[in-house]
Amino acid sequence: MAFDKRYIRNFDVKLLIAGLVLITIGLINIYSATAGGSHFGKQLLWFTLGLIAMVPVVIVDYRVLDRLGYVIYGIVFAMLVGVLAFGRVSMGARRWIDIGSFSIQPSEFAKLALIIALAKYFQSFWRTNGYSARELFIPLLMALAPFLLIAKQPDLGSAGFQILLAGTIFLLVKVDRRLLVTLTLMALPIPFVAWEFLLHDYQRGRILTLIDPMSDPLGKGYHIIQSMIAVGSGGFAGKGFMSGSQAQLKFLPEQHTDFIFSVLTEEWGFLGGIVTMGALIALLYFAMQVALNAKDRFGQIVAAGITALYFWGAAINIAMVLGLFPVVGVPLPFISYGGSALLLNMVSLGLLLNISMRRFMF
Amino acid sequence: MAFTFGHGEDRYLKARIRIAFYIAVAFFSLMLARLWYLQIFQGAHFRQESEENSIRMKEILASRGMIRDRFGKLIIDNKPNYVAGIVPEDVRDKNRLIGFMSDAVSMPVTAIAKKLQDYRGPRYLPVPIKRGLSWSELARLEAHRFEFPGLDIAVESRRSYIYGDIAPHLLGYLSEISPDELNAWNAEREDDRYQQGDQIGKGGIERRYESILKGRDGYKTVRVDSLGREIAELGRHDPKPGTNLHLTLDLDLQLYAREVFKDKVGVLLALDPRTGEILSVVNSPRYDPELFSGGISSTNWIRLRDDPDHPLENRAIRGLYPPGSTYKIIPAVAALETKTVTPWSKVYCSGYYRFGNRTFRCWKPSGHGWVDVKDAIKHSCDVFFYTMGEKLGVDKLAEYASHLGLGRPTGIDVDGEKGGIVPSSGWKLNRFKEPWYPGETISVAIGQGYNLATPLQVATVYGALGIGGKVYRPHLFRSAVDENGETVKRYEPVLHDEIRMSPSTLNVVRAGLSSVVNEPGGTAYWSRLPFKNIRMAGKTGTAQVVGYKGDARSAGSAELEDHAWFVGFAPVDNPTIVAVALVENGGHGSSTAAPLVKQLLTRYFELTAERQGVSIEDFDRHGGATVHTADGGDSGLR
Repeated sequence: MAFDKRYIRNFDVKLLIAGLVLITIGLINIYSATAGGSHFGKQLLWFTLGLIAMVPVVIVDYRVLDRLGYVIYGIVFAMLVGVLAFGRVSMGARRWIDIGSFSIQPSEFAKLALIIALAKYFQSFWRTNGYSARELFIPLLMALAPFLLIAKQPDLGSAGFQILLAGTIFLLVKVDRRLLVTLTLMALPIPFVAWEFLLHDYQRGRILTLIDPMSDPLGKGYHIIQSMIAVGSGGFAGKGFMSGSQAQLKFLPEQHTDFIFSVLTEEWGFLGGIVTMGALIALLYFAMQVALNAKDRFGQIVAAGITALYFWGAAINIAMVLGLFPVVGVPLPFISYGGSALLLNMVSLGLLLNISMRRFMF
Repeated sequence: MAFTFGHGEDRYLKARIRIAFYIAVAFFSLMLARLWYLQIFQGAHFRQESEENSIRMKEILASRGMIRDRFGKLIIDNKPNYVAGIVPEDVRDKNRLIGFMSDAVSMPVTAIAKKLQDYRGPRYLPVPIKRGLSWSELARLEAHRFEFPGLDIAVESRRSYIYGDIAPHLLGYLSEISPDELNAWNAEREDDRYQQGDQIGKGGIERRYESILKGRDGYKTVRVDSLGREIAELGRHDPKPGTNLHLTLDLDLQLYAREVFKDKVGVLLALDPRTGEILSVVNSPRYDPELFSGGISSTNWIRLRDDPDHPLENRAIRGLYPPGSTYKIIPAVAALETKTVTPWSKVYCSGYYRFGNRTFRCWKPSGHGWVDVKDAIKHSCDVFFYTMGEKLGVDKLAEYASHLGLGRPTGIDVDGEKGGIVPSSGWKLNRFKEPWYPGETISVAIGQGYNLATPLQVATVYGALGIGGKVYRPHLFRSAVDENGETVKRYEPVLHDEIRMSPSTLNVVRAGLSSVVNEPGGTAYWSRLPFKNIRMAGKTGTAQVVGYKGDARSAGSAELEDHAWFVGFAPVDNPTIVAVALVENGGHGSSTAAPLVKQLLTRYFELTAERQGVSIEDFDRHGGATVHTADGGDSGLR
């Protein structure tokens, strides 16, 4: 496979820049949130690893993934089983596999593996008038199996992601209309059933505290209240770098991971929020363009899936920080502290660049 | 089979992707509106909230698990401890506050300022300034509490040492966590993390079982006013009290041992050889663990550190001494088991032993005449064991010594234990890069030379020999009992090592050690137990002072005196207890150490009889073979 000069000409610099801007925003805020502790250096190391990993991901023709889709899925699946068997327990959950002094979270990589496997499945046969229930059975299993494994860790945030991603891709490739209506009707009572029978007390508590944070100001209500105080007190221009009193005084929980956006808006204010959300929207826009211009159905679905991956992460995280969504452990893409997530986001970005620069090739 | 698009076929997919994107943009617009609402519209309100920090989380400390003896008797309790602290967030006039506190709790201004400066935790939590306030200090602070915003008085629990300095080296003490410990302990825990200023177990049981004893702190969320005063409790999460520890110690025996040992320097220790349970342990001199809580003052520290009798040293498990004649049982067992001698073989002791052109003396210059193994043990005849040493060689001695528990830590559940030295040709080559000279074996065979052992090791060796060769790991932990009285964890005896001993060897060893105590002419005949049937077997030892602290030779005359050993078990044929006494510079084992063990074992059997509700005479009639049954008496034969 010769390397064509047109690849360079078609390289999507804008997309790469959007990603790098978000990572920079993340690094600045991780530094501030952890008062210059070791997290900043670690994240920088993961960023470097991410850059190195991106090189082959960009260069090797992405259609290799079409052939290897199920193999990759199988490997990640085995890692998910492995984490339940040998993973390190931390905060009551078994989520990490230790490799030397680093630990990785296979549930992050499960997201990309699912997107690739689904793209492979849906590109193999083509339905313009929507997929039937029987045809969706296998892809549904593909999402449910990792969902159950990740939920067992337990990590409901990452587990739910499998369902969200699969659902989004199903809707994009089109579901048979009658099936869609039936499913919608069947889904309607789910919230009530879940509330009554499925949710743990603490999970119900999180939803209740969302409606009225003061009803449980100690547990999760405390997080929401403190996060909203942090965000709100930032005002228009913010309190300045490393001067957010909420963040610096450690009122904020998980301030460098899930609540990084409240540190950001406390210290950089509404302006910082606009810039960050602008960069996120730009990223989503460029990613969407990759999906629109991809030259094969596999590339199209992968690109759309990655766009969905970024969107859901950003949407859920920001809604949570702003007190509009229950507290779930979903990091903000490219910005939150966390090696596995950053690596995954960067590899996905590499894949988008790959698909984009080969859009005129075949 | 890759599918490539012709024209037009992907229109619908593209349309759906666009629609999805518009939904995403709409969503972000909504988020931006929310951000505007929080930051601009409500900005002033939240800014005020953030400045007041009116909602705070406060820790509710879990009470630490108590420490009890094997029968459930309380050894270490908790009592309230008042702590004066400063909440940095609430302080208005720092200098005035520090000035007042300095006066009220009599602490230098600079010391208080330094504590504040070194503090790294959240600013809304109190920085502990002084622990253990007296009533007058407390009253003074309490009276002026509201004049000084930021002044905080908290109650935490503090250890109450009911019996004072009872085995402080093994029980440990509590003290404020150091920065290094803070990192080390928190590295393994994700929640309920230690905070600067927390008390933590240091040394001994308190340290080893910290995670069991600590419990789990709770917290409450409170609303405070602008002076930091709590005006409403919004919610609470109750702490989980620490788990109580039941030790293997027998409190009554322990108190008695401390009383018997008085102010001699050394160790008196007893354990149950069948399980490794430590029954009592006296290290002398000791220190008062109370001195350490709330931070030891530098005067006290220097006094303890520089005391020539080393009160901080945990001699029972860290003091290394030449085992002296107590070692002789090892060549005896090795010679019998390897058939180097029979129980009837005799060696002639003329008062000295010639090896090459060197002469080694027996302690009795006139000699013991013809002696067999049993006589040699009884009279502690050096020449007999010189002979055995030469015949066996140092490596055979080392093999038996190692399997009986010398030369490596016994594995007791207290940190810092030392392993001692079992010399062998390999050890010497490794240590000094020199070959072993056969002449060196001669002095090793009587427990001198390079031999070094802790008192606990010597007790372990004799316990193992007494029960036929099984070495159980000594331990202090017996069970953990939660606040509801449920036993959550129970110690199971661990077989540490084992040597093969034929019944005939065991009989000879027991007979020899018994004759030391029970036959006229035995080296400890004057320390036999005051019973008819319960008999003790044991061995005296006198260790020449050469090694300890290295400088003993050059010091004053008292320190030139030998260390006195005695180690014994009883009842002879079915031992339930083994005890060792070591008296530094105590002279002869027979006159100084043996009476201590005799008194301890006598008391032990009296207590056992008492607990079984029988008179000591009846108990004696049955040979003392049964074991205490109080508390389910399950320390029995397993």
